[in-house]
Amino acid sequence: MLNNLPYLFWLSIFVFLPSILIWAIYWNFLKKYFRLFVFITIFAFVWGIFFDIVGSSLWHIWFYTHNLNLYFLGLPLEEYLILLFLPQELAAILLLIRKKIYG
Amino acid sequence: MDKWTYTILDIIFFAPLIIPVLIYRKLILKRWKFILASGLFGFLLFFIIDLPATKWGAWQFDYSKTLGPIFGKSVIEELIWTILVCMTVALMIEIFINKSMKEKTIKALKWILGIINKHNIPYQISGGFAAKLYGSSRELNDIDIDIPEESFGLILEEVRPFITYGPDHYVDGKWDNLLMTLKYFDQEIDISGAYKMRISTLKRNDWYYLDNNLNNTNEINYQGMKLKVISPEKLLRYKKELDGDHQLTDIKAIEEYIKIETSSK
Repeated sequence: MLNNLPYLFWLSIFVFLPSILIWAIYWNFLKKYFRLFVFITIFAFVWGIFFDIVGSSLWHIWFYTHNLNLYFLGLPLEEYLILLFLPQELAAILLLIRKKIYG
Repeated sequence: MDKWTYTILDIIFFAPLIIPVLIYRKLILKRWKFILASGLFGFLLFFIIDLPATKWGAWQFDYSKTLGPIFGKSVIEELIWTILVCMTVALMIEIFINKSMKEKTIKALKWILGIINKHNIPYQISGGFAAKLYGSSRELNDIDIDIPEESFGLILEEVRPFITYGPDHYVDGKWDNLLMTLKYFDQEIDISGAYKMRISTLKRNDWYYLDNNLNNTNEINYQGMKLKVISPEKLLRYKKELDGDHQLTDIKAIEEYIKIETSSK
């Protein structure tokens, strides 16, 4: 999988797995911020699509080679998955950091 | 513009951030530790997750469109992107929490003070919320209101659906008082008896009565409401008997408030 689908493998290791663990451990704390997670996910998804379209499809700063080969608007499916799941992972970790700082 | 392409992309997409930064500058200054810690986290995150991504070939860069400094197979613009994204998410978290906390606190305050004022009951706001009114930056847990012990009966019927504790004599290692806890739409409110309230000393080897005087409070305007608040000196005195990091935050803010008040006189 690492050789054939590195992006999906990377997503599994660094996004999906940690997210599941964080939510399982801190469910009671994080569920209070449900509206925040919805807002951040929607905002980051829309912002990220525009950023990626310009950066990748239009200006060709970065590109994707090994992926599932399912493209929408010039971006691979994996890119949509990162835009959907990475923001909530970041928000969850940052909320935990904030809790550590301010109690 | 070739080597500046990624830099320009970052500038275009992060420049609008200046608007919320200007609008919420006070909040940012108050929460600078968290915003800064988020930036630092972004810095570390780049090395933890971005380097493997580019090394494994999840995505690749056209290096002619980047400034040059390279980390593994990733680029400096990506590092800046990660830091800015984390700081942006931190800002969004702060704005959201600030707004929602304020909303539920105001709603609960209006409700409970409406009942208290209707019965002409003297009161004072104390605890963490009073400290917040004096400038403490920590997150609010509950609203503490002190009223005379004999007035509990006057408000009991109206607050009964929201009672989660008491009214009952409450004693733990720190407090000894008449207490009633309410939960009004997710906001906890502690109503305490003002005149028979005892606190234990910091060493927890002695108790003394707080010299509450509900006819001698500070009036503070908060969101269009005139609130009667425990004096900063009295609040400071009892806060010093309590332990925990959040108490230190409160103490620091109250001391600062007293210092400014004293110097302006």
